[in-house]
Amino acid sequence: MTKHIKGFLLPVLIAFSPIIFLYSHNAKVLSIGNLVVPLLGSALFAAILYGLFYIFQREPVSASLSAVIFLLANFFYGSIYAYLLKKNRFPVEHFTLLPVVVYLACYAAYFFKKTIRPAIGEVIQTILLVGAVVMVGYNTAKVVPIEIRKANLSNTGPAPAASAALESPSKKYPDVYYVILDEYAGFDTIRQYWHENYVDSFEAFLKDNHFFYADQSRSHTSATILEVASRLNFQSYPDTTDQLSLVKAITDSKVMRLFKSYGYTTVAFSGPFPPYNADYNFGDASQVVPDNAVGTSEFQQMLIENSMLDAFSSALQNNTTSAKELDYIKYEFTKISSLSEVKSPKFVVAHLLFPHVPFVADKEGNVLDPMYQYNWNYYLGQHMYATRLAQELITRLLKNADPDNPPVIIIQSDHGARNEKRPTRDSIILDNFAQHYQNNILFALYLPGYDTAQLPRKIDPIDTFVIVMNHYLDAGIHADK
Amino acid sequence: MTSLSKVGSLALHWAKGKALHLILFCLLVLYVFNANALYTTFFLKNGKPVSGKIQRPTQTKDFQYGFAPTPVEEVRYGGEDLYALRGYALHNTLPSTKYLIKIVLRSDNAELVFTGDPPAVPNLLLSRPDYNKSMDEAEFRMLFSKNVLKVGKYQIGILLTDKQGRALSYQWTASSIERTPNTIRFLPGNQP
Repeated sequence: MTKHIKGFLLPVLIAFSPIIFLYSHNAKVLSIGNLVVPLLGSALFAAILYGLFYIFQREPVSASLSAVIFLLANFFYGSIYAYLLKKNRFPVEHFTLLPVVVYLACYAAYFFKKTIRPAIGEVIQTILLVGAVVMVGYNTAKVVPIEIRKANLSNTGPAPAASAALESPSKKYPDVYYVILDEYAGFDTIRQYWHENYVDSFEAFLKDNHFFYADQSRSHTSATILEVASRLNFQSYPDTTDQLSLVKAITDSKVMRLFKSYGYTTVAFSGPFPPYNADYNFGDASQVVPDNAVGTSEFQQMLIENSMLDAFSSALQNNTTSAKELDYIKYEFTKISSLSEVKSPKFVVAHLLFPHVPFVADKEGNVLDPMYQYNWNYYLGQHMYATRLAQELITRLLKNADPDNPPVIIIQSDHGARNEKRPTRDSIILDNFAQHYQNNILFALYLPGYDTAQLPRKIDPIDTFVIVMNHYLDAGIHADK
Repeated sequence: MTSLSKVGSLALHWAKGKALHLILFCLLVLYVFNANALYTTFFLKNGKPVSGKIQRPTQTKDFQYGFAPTPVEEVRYGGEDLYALRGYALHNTLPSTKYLIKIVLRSDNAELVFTGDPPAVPNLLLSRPDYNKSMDEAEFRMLFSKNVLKVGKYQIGILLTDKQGRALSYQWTASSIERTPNTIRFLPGNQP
């Protein structure tokens, strides 16, 4: 029995190793839930392999080592496929390469069993087992403190009431909607790079509805985490700031605390980040793709692309993955304008990962094939659809507004289009895309009763809430830049 | 002679002992060399040439043609990884509602005919001063799988037929498609 446990444990741990390794490098921004399916799947695969080899070989040690050989072939399959494809010496198809690799792996296992004596096999098994335990243990140890810090992020207490709010509790504060369209390219980029003019009508729509459009505003960086943290805390952060501190600055921001202190009900659509310290949370970080690291889709895609599952990737990535992402985005856009259950005054911060990758929609809002999720040729279509959704959202918010106390609406992108190559095979980027486009953002403000003529066209995005809070709440804030 | 027969009998003896392995190896080799044919015959649903002999007239110069700025793109259609060639063929006299477009790919040893279907979003002729909506039907998108092409260069021809499939006009273009072992490239020629 011990031999079987040892024999089974080795392939399972070997199968876990690359998954936990990859997760440990992205744990700060991925949800632990992303591990469940890959770990269960690989454990099942390893168990089936061990069982099959045991049936043929009737020997736990060699069955265990044979399963390991097969698993190694599985891990390197994606790299072999990509290498041969790149070399372009002969046609490479999954329907020929997969049987050849399986055949070679089985024969490698067969010859291993034939040539290695059982005693030596047991020594090799023990060495490999120790190595696998160390590898899995080391990467797990790296993950644990990160998970603990992530869990602690939202465990912060309520903010104290501001003195101004205590003095005049009956004052009618406006609802404030802060909508971040992640990676929404500013109008200049669309006009200059794509030579498209549909943004003209969006700009006209904003102006017709009394929005102030800061056409010369630029983001300081192209990093979502730095941009959002700085705007929600009236201060800039050096790019060396620890990522978890920035996440904490976002989920438990000064802006959110200040609004709470004025009696606001707070609502968050947290986008790529963990749930905010808000009264209502609609974000689900496991559904979306974060910045600076591989996201849920990419995490799974990388695992698939590097294994024999790559041969079946078309079937595994059917349109439902893109359709699910798109449904979630549409739900968020709709939900922002239908928060009747939330008591006013309310502060709604909605970080929408749109038109950010994955590209899931064409300009009409039809679901794109998943092969285009990281193909920047499809950015423009998604940007067009994002523009339409934003316009519809603004229309609904204004239509539902209380005429005596209209809301403040801020529509802003964290950064512009970055045209970034992603670590997946289907990732395609645009040619001659200027670096400065990544700072060209959308920044539109609807500030009822505010004389926007005094606002500069190049407002620093860090000043967003300085303007709003000083005018509507008399908060007396200064940005720390 | 004796030593030769000895070698032969030894080889036979060895082969008998390894029969299963030899059979498996032969099966694998047989499969690998025929897998593409099996795939295109039994599994591939889209991007195949039309079957049967299609008559084409000698070259005529009675239509204008052109290709999209990115003429060949990888697409996934019906769950299959294919390529799409996009362009237009605008007849000088016939309205574009009166004819269908077929694309001929000719190499040194093969001539394949594909149907050119209307693209979902026709936009290649929008900038023409004489543009009208019916011109949209002069645009085509030809889906093809690289598995149906052998490695080599294929000259592109455009065939216009009536709705019953009778050939009306035909032109070889100066452009071609090249299939390398794992890629497809469009090689532009001088468009008229």
